[in-house]
Amino acid sequence: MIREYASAAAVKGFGTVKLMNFCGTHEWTTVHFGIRSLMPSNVVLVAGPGCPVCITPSACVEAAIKLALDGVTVYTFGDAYRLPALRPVGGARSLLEAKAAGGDVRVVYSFMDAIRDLQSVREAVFLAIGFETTAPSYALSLAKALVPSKLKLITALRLTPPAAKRAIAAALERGLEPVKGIIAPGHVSTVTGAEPWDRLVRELGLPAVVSGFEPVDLLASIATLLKMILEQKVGVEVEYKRLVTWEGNVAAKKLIAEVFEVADAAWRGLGVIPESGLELKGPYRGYDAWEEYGLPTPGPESDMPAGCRCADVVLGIAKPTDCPLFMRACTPTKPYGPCMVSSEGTCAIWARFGGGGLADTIAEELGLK
Amino acid sequence: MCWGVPAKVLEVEGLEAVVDFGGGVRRRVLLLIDASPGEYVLVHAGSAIGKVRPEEALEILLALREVAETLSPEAASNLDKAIEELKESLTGKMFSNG
Repeated sequence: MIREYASAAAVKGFGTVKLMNFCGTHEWTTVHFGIRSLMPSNVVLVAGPGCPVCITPSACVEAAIKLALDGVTVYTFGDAYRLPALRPVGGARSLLEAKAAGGDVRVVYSFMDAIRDLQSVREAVFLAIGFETTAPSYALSLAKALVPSKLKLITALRLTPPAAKRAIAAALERGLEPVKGIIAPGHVSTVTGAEPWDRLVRELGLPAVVSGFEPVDLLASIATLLKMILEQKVGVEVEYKRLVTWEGNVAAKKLIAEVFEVADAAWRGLGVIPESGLELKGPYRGYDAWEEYGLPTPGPESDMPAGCRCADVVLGIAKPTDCPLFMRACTPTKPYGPCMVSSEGTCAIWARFGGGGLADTIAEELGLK
Repeated sequence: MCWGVPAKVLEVEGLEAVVDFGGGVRRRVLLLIDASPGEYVLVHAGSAIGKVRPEEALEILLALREVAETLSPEAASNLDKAIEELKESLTGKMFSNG
C-alpha cells in the first residue's frame, strides 16, 4: 500500500515526501526494524525533536551539578546521569562526575521513587526533565501534596508541538526538503490527546498521524500519511487508537494546568521556543529550585559543545552521519554530545541499532565501503 | 524512554497501584488513569499512563523483547519470563472460556 501511494505521489509530482517523527521511540523502531529500507525512494523518514534529555539546556545540568557539589542531594533519571554540561562546574561535567567528586547524586526510575527515598535526606532536588508524558507524574504528586517541602524541582519540562513547529520551520529556513507529514508521538498523545496536533497541523497545512510503536503501527501510519498527502488532507488521524483519544487524559491535563503554566523556554542548542515549557505556578512556586537557590536560568545562549551537530540532528536538518564526530570522537561508550548520551537520542539509536540498509548508508558515509 | 511497559495491576492503594511486570518484578506506580486489579496498564517512568487488553500487552512485550536484545541480557531475560507468564495466563483464559 505504501508503494502504491508513493508511486501515485511521484506521478502527481509531489517530489520527495519527507515524514518527520517526534519521538525517540518511533526513531528506535524505525531503525531497529529497518523501516527506512522498506520505503520507496521518494519517501524519506526523518527524526525530529523527540528526546527530552537531548534538549535539556546545559544550565539545568550545571545547576544540578552545582547543588550536588554544594551538599544538596540530587535525584535524576538514569538518562541524564551522564549528560554533559557545556561548562564544567567545580571540575565536574556531568552528574556522574559530580558523584565521583563526592556529590550525593541518586539515579531513580521515577519521581515517586525519589519522594520515597527522602527519609535520610536533609535537602534535595529533582532534575525534572520530560515531555508531556512525564509531566502528569510531577503534577499529580505535587497537587496531591505527596511532595515534602525539602524536595525542590529543577524544572526542565518541555512541550512537543512547539518543537515540531520549530523543526518544520528550520527545514524551510535552510532551503531543505519541506516536511510533508507528521508522525505524531504516541505516548505524549495519550496525555495531550490528538487535539493539539490537529491544531498544529491546521496552522501548518499538513497531515499528521498519531502512531503506535510497533513496526506494523509505523507502517500503517506511513501509509495513512501518504494517502492523506495524496488527498491533500490537513488534520490528524489516530492510528494508536488503543491508547489515544481526541481529548487525551483530561484529568492529567487538569492537574498539569493546576500546577504548571506554559512559558517560553530554552531548548538545548535551539534557543528559546515560545510557549514551549512548563513552569511551576502559584503555591507550587515554593518547589521551584531555580528560585530557591537563585540559579541562573537557561537563556537563548548557545550551549552545545564545540563541533557537535546535535542541534541540527534534533531539528531533523542533519543526520547523525552528517556530524563529523559521529562514531569517531562521539560513540555510545564515550559520548560527546547529548544526542549520543540519551537512549532516545537519534545518534545513540543510529550508533547502536543500525540495520536494514542504514548500516550500509552509515558505512558509506564514513568511507568504510 | 517513551516506551510504555505493560504490567498487571495487583492492588490499588489510593493514587498508586502495585503492578507486576512479570518475572517477579513488582513496583508501585502512580495511577494516571483508573485501573483495577487484574487489568493491564502501560507504565512510563513509574506512572501508569493507559490501559491495554492482555492480548495487546503480549504484543507490546514481544516488540519490547526485540529491542531488549540490544539493551541488556537482563532486560531480555526479564521480558522472556514476562512473556511466558502472560502467554500461560492467556491460554488458561482461553480454556476456561471453553
